[in-house]
Amino acid sequence: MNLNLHYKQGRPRHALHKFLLVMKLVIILITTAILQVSAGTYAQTITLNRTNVPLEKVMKEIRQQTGYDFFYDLKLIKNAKHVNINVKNASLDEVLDKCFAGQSLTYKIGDKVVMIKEKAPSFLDKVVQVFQSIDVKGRVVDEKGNPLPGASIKVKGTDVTAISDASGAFFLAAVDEKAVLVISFIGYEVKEVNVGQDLGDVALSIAVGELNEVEVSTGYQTLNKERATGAFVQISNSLINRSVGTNILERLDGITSSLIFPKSSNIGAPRSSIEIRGRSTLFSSAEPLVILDNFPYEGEYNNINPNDVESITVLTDAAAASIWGARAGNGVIVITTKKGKLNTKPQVNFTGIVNIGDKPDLYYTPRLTSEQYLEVERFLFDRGAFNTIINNGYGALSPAVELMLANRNGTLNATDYAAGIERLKGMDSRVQQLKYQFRTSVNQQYQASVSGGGTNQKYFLSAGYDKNLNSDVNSNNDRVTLNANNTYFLLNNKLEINAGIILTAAKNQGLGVGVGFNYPYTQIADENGNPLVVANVLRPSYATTAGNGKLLDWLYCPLDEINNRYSTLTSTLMDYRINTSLSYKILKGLKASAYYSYSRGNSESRKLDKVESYYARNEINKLAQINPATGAVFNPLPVGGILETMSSNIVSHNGRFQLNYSHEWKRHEINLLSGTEIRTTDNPGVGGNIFYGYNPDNSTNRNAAVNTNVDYPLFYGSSTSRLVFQPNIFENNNRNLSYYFNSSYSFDAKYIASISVRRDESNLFGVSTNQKGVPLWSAGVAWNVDKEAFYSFDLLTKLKLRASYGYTGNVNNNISAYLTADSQNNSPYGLVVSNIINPPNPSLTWEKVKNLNFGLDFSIKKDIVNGSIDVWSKAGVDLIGNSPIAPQTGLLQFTGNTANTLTKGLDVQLNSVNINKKIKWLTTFIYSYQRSEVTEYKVSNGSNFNVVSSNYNNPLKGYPFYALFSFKYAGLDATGNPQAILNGAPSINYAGVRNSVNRNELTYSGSAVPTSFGSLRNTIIYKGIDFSFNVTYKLGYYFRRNSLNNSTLYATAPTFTMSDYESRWQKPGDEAITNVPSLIYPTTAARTSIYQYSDVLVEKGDHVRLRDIRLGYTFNKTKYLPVRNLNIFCYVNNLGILWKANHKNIDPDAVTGLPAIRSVAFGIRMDL
Amino acid sequence: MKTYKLIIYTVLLLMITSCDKAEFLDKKPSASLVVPTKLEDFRRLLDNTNIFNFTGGLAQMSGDDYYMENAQYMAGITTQRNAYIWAKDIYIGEGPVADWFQLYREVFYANAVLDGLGKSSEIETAEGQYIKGWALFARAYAFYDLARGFCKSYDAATANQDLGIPLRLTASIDYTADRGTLQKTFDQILGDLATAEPLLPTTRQEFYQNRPSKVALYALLARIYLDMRNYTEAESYADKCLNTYNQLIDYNTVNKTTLNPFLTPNDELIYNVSQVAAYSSFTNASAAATGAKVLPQLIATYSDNDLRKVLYFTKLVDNTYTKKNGYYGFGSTYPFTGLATDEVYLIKAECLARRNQTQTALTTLDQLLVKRWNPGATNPSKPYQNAVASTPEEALSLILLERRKELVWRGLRWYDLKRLNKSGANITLTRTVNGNTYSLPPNDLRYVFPIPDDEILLSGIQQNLR
Repeated sequence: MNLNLHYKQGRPRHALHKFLLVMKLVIILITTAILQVSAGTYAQTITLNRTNVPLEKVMKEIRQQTGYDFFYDLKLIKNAKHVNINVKNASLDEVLDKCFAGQSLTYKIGDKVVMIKEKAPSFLDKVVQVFQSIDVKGRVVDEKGNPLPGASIKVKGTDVTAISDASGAFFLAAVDEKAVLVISFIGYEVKEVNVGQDLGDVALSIAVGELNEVEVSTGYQTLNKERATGAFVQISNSLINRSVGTNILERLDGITSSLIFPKSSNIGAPRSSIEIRGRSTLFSSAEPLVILDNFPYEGEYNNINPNDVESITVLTDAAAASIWGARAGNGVIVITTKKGKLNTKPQVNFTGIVNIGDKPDLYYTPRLTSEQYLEVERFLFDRGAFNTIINNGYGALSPAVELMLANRNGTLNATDYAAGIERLKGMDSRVQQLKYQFRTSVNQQYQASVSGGGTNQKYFLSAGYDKNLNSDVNSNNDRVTLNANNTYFLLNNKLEINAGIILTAAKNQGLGVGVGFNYPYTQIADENGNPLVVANVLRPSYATTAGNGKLLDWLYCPLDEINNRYSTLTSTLMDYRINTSLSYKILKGLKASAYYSYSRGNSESRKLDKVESYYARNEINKLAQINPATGAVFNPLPVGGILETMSSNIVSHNGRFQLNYSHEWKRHEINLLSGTEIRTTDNPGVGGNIFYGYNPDNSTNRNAAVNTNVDYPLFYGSSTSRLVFQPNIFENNNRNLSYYFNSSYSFDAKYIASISVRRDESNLFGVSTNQKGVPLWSAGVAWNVDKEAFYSFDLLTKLKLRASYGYTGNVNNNISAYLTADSQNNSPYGLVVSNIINPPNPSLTWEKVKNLNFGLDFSIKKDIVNGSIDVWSKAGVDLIGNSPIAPQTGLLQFTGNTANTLTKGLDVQLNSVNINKKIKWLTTFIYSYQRSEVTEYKVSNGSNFNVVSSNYNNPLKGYPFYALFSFKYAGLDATGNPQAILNGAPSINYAGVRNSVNRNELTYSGSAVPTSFGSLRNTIIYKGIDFSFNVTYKLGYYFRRNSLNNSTLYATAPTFTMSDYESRWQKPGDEAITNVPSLIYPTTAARTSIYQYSDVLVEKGDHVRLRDIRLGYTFNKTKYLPVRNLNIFCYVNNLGILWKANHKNIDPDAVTGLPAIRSVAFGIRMDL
Repeated sequence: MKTYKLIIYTVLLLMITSCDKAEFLDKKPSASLVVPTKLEDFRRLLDNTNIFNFTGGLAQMSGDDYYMENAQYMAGITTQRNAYIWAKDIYIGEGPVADWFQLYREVFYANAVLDGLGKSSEIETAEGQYIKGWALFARAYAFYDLARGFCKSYDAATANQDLGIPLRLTASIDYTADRGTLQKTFDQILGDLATAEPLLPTTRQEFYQNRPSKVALYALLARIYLDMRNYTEAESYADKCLNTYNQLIDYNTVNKTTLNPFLTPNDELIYNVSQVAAYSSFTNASAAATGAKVLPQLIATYSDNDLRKVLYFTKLVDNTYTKKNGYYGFGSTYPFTGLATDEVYLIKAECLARRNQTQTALTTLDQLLVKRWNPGATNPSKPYQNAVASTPEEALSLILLERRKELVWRGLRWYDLKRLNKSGANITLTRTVNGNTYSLPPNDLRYVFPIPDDEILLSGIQQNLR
């Protein structure tokens, strides 16, 4: 609020209790001023006898005796002369005259208010002398006429401010007649109006840009963005609610600069779920730190109900994020949940959304047709590839191979054989997959909330329910969320107590065992929809006869499994967090706060395979033993269901003690914040609990009958198997202690400097206590150029320059300086044994990220265009990296501080109001550019094959971490073999090509992740209609497409989802027209890899996507509806690609897997 | 007012003193994590049978216990196919090579135990001494397996010139060891075993057969000295071993129908070791036609009364044979390559024959063979006939044949070929794959496996000539 406005107060004294008395008074004053509540009945005459006391003290006395409030600028009162006064039953005027005699100050009495001003004739004073003052009242409302409580009404050019009450009404006493009021409210455009006695309703319109007068939260404090030196991206509530996903973080996709959601690709490198300003670590967690209200959130993002979220701030540079220290290296996302508002009647909101998604596009992935696949099988069959399995008598064969075998054995004549093959040719497994395995997904979200507040208490309560029926027919999720938050202001507002609880309960269900469609012609149902037997592990002919009927049915009917849900995987999640805080204003400007948060999450999963399930039947039969003499069946694994359970808990305690101090004098303002924080996160759990012979009807199991010390021979083959039901107990514990200090200084509101220092200590393992800490710091400066006297550039109404520098860090608790081992009990002798998980590494240190940021915030012509531009660099130093190491050490790779990276980038956000009439057209443009490079990698890399297949393991210096390298392809030789460049010439020496370390024999295409990305969002508002659509783009990157792969096509468990089968080399001469190698049998992995990793398969990833369209209509409060406000909308997501660089019909976001499902949502939001 | 002051002070105090900072930060990040410092920690490392108790698989693949049918051969990976045909370069970049990496991993673990134990005050306790002996034994076992595969046959005359293996003696990873000489390698192995001898328990491990004892140490030394062609020492250690423990299993008591005839632990097993899991399709015991088949010439040498034929092999419908699981139990189909009394009997018999103690040699052989004989297998029944030989040479070749038959699929045949050819046995191996015939003349350079490519690349040690 109005920070420059001060009330009468006591001079600082040394005795604490006196301070507290004063504070109490100040609070009363603030409260009364804000709420415009009358101070009560006071004597109107004054009796005073003081000698040589500060003016402030006298004003306090007067305040006590009269009830008049004093408004003054702190700068003025500081140098006032001390006062001698002796009056009895004097009037206010009389007393004040005496006090101000000889002062360079003067006063003016208003309605219960005394304004103190400079006497020296300033411009303002001249104005004041000219005008008479009037009292002003009015009401602040939104475009629909709803009141806006808490709006700020400021007299322009002064520090006089009022705040609107619950009904939006405000009142200002003794305002100059010709003054202008500046009315602002977060999220709305600032409005200036000329004063009048009754202004009536002043309507504010929703702000088009998110950058105006925004407050940003760091999780430790809330800053006015104008006074911040760091780089923040603020996502408003309306923007969060523009999309409809049930996962809060996913709603940031496509609307937030500097942030990208990595999508499926085939680079194999580790990716985090969200990347903020690139990747500044190699192998430590690259996940950003998520703060929910005050503390890090360790649970599943899915447990946060987006409808409970008020706003999100993304902290990107050091000045913004380094307050989070060692965990801030990957950026910080601060989520602030909704709270009540003081002096507000109960407000009830309801949201309901139904989102309907298409079935997955199975036809997207290229694959061999059934006919082509049959050709392959025939080829392999003729070369004896299946003989091993045929001879063992039990191994599964594909339906086609069964036909070929029967034909070869003479049990199937040529005509029937041909007919059989012909039948298979006509089948396409996808038809049945879409019919039996997938459905249209339906997600429903409902949320109701009530919020409000009185004079010293505010509250927010909400309940949400989500129900998702996913595209997999047996997969669904339910989620219930409850959120309650209550804040009390006690002891005359000196003490603020907050308590809240957020609770989430979720349940996910799915099939326990996936249904495989192993061949392109696999059929799981006949023409009448009856289940068909599918060969899985065993040949049906074997499965039917094995055990002569003494075993459980051994046939596999996937459709039965789907329809009857024989195998289910159910996971339940329960997560709650209790937040409490206590803050106390000790002195003017000094506040002490204590926070405590307790959260507990529990997740349990149960995989139940009923006795009817193929999984259970197979497990039981596999071990069954039939006594050849008696025919008696012994089942080492008791007949019954198999239940596997896993549970994991996360318990976190967070405590924080913090002091805030702010002080202003003259043109200076200083804000200090210092605190200490303690965190413990424990993550105990139990896995691998297996119950054999489980009967779900009465929850009994027969583990007592299981012998875990015997190797039972399998019913087929020569392997043996041991039964295990030993639970595996694990517990992870994180301990953190942090100390932090943050300060900012501003001069004249023009020049701002900030500094932040933090030390983090954690229970890094095997490191002595004094090495467990890392000190990190940052500093920033900002210059509000537009506030300079010389600045008179009308076009650019706002101009702010920012610069920051500093360090953030990454935590990697997985490695240690000492040789460490972990224990497990998987010894065949039943012993507890240990694995070495970390070799000795005496030189281990923390990973650090050095951040540099230059920013520019601007606004053109009253926000017709506003925006920000940030240029940044992030240098990862001492990053933990893998290095290949001579195998004689006993390791294949070594992990240590072996790497440095440097990422440079640019983030731009522009908001423009293209038309601002009855019809409004708004545009937001986001552009992020980032270029990364591994600048140091201490140990040399392996072969060229390592580079092309997994450069991320040992990234090459001078290239991005996500670099795409390929073999230089030299086409096919005369026999259809792929050739690559070796020693300057085409070669089929595959081992030579793979093992070469000459990097000149590689093609470097570029980054495998987008180097430029962003979005263009247009919004059109006309009356109650809002229409918007978001176009996203990703540019400047490459991907490797999948093509004909000899090795996986001919593998024992073949893959048939690949393209280019038709264009393969088939006869001499083809080498002139194709690059696709011939198929050979037996295949060699080296030959396959030359083509697979060749540069001819690299495609440009650039594309532009129509991400979503939203159409909404808001009914203004109408007499026809029993609600205050009603908004209905339709939201279509994932509409498809508008343009892409590759001509292969590949969605670069779905190089592997399927493209995101298109969905249509219908929603309603209403305020009662 | 006092109440609030109290709250603030309490909170402050709590924040500052609620816990001892060092203790707070010393909490282990994972409950199962440990810096091994206690004897129990070391024992857990040595007991890890996912790490220890393995030997390489190249020897079995290159040896002549088996053959591969074309289709199965073609289904193999590069290393398998090349090892089978004794190609000059085996791996062609394929890696990691289990024969090298897994054995050095055993060395790393053993060194970690020895390093940690050296700093422990408990080293002088009985348990501490045992663990030291155990770690030395395990390291020597691994060094020996590396040396016999990646070095030439030991020859006292040339051992000071022949290349050895890198001898890594600490768990630090910040240095590279070079190959040194073969003499140095064997000095290290024998020295370690000499140090371990007094530290190991006298009696054989009855149940935990992954743990060594003096019996195991003697059996290992007998094997090593035999390989070094130091038959005097070999016999002496074979005797030491058998004097302590000489049990044999009467094969008549063993279940003939199961694919896993031998239990673990069993009476003959002294120290349980198996082949690395890699390359299993060429080396595994398997009743199915998916893998390696027993060489028919070898099958032909077993008499119908010889129980080893039914207990070691499975006859398939097409009259070919595959190997059943051996002494290594616990569900593994990876071939047993550890120490058992039968091998020690055979070492003793061979050494006796070599010093012309024909009759004693044959008696020793009979002690073993009678346990393998089922008189009732044929009709009429055929009681066991003692072995006869008229000359020491005849006795030796009889013993060597029985050695081959008894120790089939134990990863020993290749090293026997290496050793015997060195003494002039003049055995040439030939194989035919897809119509191409490959052969390996005696004492060929290819009897020494090439060092894996990644090792050469990263440490720059000298490659073997092949």
